[in-house]
Amino acid sequence: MTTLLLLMAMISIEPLQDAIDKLSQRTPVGSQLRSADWAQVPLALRERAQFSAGVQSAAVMNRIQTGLLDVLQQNRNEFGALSDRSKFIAELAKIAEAEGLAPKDPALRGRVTDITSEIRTGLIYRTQTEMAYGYTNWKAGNDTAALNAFPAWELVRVEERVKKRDWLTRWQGAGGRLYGGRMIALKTDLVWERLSRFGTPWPPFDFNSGMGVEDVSRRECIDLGLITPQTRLAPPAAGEDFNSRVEATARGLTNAELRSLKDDFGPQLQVQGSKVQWESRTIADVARGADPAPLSIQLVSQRQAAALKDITGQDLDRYEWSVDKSALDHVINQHGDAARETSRGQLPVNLADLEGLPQALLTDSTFRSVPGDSTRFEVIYDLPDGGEALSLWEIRPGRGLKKRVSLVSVRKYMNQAPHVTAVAGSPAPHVRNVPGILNITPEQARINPNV
Amino acid sequence: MIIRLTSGETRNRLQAIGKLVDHPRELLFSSAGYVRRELQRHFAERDRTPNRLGGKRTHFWGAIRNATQMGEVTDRQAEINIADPRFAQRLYGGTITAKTPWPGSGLKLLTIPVDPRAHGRRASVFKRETGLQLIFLGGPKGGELAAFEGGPDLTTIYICKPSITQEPDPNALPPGDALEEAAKLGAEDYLATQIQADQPS
Repeated sequence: MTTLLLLMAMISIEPLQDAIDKLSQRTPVGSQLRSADWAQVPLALRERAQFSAGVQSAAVMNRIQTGLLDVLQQNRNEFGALSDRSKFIAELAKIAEAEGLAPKDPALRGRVTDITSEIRTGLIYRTQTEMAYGYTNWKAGNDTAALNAFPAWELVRVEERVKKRDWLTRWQGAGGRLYGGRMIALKTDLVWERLSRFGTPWPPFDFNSGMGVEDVSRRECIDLGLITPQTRLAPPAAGEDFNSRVEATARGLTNAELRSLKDDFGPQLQVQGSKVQWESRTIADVARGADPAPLSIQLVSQRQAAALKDITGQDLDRYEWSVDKSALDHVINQHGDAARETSRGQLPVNLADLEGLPQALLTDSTFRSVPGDSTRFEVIYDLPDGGEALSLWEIRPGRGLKKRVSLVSVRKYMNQAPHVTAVAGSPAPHVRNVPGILNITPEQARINPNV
Repeated sequence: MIIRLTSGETRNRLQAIGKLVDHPRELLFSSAGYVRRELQRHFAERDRTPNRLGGKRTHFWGAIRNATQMGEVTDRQAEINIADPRFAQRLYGGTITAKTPWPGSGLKLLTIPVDPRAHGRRASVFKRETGLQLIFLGGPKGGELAAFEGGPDLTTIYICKPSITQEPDPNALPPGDALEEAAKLGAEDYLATQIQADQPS
């Protein structure tokens, strides 16, 4: 009562941090699943995934994520031009086309199922930005003071549409009540979640709907009988709030549910016991060791499985390429020192060399057997700095979801150095730091003048 | 950029009401919330007007409405955030200069749609969506992007200029007195609910 107010209602044209944070929490996930299939995925996963129905391309999903963040953060390109809707649409369509995602059948071009089309890319932009702003509004509106100043929302048309859905029927079907014909409910009412195609209590409630919410003041809520003058509203307690309910959808999954999800998403999904989450870590994250779980890079492809069967005699169908912290520690500790590696005729391995592993496994890396050992094999790949990496992998036939091909070690050479071939002939090509024994001689190393 | 809304008179009125309530932050939420609602209704109304070219709607004003959010509210001040930098250009006007060079030619020209089909579309998207080839007629100081559409004549799709200067949009915001009125009404309505709550039921 004694507080002196210095009220200045200000309008500030700044990025919204909550919207940026919400979007940043999403992990790009590629999948063939259509919208109806995605609706069966636990909400906790959907809420944390940047996905688009039927789009598997990692490049496209990454561009969607970074492009939307550029817009929300009001970023500019290298020439100083601001990111906006038209830039997002143009760049996404270009990448999708470069990825070969344009429909082969001209009759299918330009439809909403065509990821290179303006209608689809525009829909992605609209839905995602509306979700980010809708979440910001919901979060701010559930602050105690906001909740008591504006206890309710009204569902209103905010943009015109040529074809309008029947929102009145849908509202009543979701358990919503009418107040003088108006679709109004307390912000804490579950009707908002039930109304939404996406399962979230904030708009948009459906694709391209043109519907939104408008705050209903405390006075109107009292007049309409939603609350009494004495009512004091509080946000739901922790554990009962929306976020807690969402998190619960990713826990306690049955083996059949886990297997189904794993079939759909492969290594993009991290399973810990009966809990699932998106794999958003990088090799650098694993090396830093915040999370001890192995990082699954990707499934062994059919092409790779066939090649590896020839080499090892083992069937690696449904196996995942995987790295763990102990292997990364070994590589950096045993093969990261420049002086020691030079004495071995090798180059020191750094984290950047290891970060290239996922890409290497996607491209034309070379596989090679380890004589006398059918549980191990080598993968040789080029490095961007001109070097060549020889990595050693081990087949670990765990049960169920844990069949892995795990990294054991990595050595680095100058590209095309003859000693890479020489090393391959050794009986134990994975490097152990055995004093007095060099895999190649310094003279061999000097065959390449760049060493 | 911050636009201050409340005049001395409104501020004095709100200060007087603020001394009477138990929850001054709620009062400010109510006051600023009414202002925000006024802004959102104004933007939604503007969104009902089709674009001048008559092209496919991009719902610019609908996006501005969505981006109009409550900012920080304390016991002493409230902030409303219109988190879209394009709004500042509408509000204040100003010169926009082409910054990104065109691929290949390196020309720095804005492409300003003059054909309804080009509204809200970059030239690359226009070409992909329509299947029409765009031909540039001009040079570094400007020109046009045009297309043959079956006949011998070229149709101008975009005008190309190194920069354009836009006038401020006098209706970007609702009238100042409407916003002042909304701020006062929000505070007075909230005060009325507090008086109601104090009365024996």
